[in-house]
Amino acid sequence: MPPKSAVPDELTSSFLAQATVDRFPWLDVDRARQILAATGIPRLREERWKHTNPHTIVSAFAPPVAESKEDQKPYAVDGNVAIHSFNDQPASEFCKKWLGRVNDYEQYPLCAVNALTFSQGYLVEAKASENQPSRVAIASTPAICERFLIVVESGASLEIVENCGGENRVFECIVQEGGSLVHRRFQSGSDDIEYSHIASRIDASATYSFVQYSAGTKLRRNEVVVDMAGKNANASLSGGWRVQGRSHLDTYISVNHECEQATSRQKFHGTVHDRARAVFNGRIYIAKDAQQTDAQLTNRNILASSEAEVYTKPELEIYANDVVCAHGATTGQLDEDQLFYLRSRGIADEAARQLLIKGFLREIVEHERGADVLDIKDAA
Amino acid sequence: MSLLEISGLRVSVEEQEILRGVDLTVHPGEVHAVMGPNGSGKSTLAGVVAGRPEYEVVHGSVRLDRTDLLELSPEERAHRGLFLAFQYPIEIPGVTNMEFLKTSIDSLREARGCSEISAMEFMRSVRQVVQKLELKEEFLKRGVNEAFSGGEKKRNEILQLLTLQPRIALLDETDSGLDIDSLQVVAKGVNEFRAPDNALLLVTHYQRLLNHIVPDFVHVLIEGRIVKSGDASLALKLENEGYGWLEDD
Repeated sequence: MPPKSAVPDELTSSFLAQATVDRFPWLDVDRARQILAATGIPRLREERWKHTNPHTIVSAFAPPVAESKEDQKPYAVDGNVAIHSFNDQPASEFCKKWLGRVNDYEQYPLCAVNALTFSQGYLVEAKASENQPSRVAIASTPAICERFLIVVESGASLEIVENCGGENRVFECIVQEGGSLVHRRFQSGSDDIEYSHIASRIDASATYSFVQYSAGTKLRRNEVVVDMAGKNANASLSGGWRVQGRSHLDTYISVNHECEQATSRQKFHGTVHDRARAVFNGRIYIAKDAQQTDAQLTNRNILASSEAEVYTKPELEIYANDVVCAHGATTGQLDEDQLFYLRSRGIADEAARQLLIKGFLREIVEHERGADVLDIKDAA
Repeated sequence: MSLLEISGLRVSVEEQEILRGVDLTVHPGEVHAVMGPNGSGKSTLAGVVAGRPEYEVVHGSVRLDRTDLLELSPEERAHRGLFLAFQYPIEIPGVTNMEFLKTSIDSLREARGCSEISAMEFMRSVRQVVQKLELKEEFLKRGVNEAFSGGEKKRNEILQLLTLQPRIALLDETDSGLDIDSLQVVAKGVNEFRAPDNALLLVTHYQRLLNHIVPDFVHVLIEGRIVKSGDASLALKLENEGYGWLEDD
């Protein structure tokens, strides 16, 4: 990314000026501060921000609040997994080693803002176990800016269920060799402005599954960046959205194949109603040495109203010569033949449309909670 | 009293006249077959009666129990008892056959002022039909026509026919793409549907379906007009002699 003007804008300066050292004594914020000072907060129309204004998002981040000393435990844990607040001693050593290592502040400067402002942080450490996969359910925390560091040790299995949004929430996930991480995210509708970023590193023979269901909010930006860092790593990212009213949902996915013989899948379906807007940017990057990569991406959108807007952009950047890679994106109205078929069976036009939308979204929903979020529960 | 009455029907598709004055009257209890070579307008006839949006009716009327169908939406035609078995049934992934059927039944009931069918009653009646058509119950849980074989798609049309119990059913090339076993099952299902108060209009290119579903009347449609009508023996004559002798007229 080219360096910005030497003088940071007012919004950037306000974050650079924030006193942050007293939150966590061990936290090194200098790097984040330096990067943010150099890059600044991105502007609308920049490459990664074509349709969503990052300044609107960042302006909504409230200043950091002091960490409550009372441990409110906004999570539930099951299995061989340890979870520590960043205030706890065991967390500090881990964080010093990992925090900000997977997450790329230069490419994603809003994560640097998060690093300067998060007031609550949790380390989740999953250990290998002979039993069922460990499970962590995340509920909402009182903090505005949050940080999660997820470490799945070699051979361990972890499932994260995220039932709420956050105004500024950053995850760093490390799935070590042979480990397995499933991250299910359910984002209900609200009137908030929300930003989230997930940076995941998938080591050799490890598997990563990310599933996200989103209803509309005033403005929501979800970023998922996955580094396929080892041979036979496997990542599957899927999900759907149903955005209504005047909501704005922006989904940014980037899967980076750095290592040979890894497999990745991206499959997202969305329906956009009323005057809502959905943005999807799905990227596959395959480095020169990432031979025998198998990567696929599909994004299908249905415009359910004449005033709805969809901007979809699949991106492939391939430097290796022995890869299997496919991508496709479609945006359209409901299929006229399908509509006529249902209507010829006596189903009224509007009911037929609702049924087709349900069917379209169900193709990517494999979880009951997802059906709840997208409002497509079974009728029969 | 006639059940379905088509008079002077002229229909265009993209400015080209496909039906050029069709008259056809179907009474309750009757089975009519409309035969004709490719491109004669058979599928257009079935489509326009069911309300496919791409056709432009230039002239004429289609009445079901004296109601002009051409004024009605496709769903309103279905509410009045019209059913079209599609030549190419449409796939709808993500919507199960069961949900589709139940929504369909409930829509028809609602139009008649009845309440929704109970899940138990629905399952009981659908199960019976599923067995008759030699299908597995798992068939109901699959997406509508999704990855169905040709035979399964056609059986699914007949499943709907028997479940929805329309007053008049148009069967558009129901025998195409059927192996001989499926043909027999489908024909058995259609014959089961036959009753004194309903009627069938079969649209077909070949006579073979008519060996199993014997029509009372056979009409030959050529270039958008019915050029000859007769009884079941006309179908056999067409099978032996082709359409040439009629086209030369």
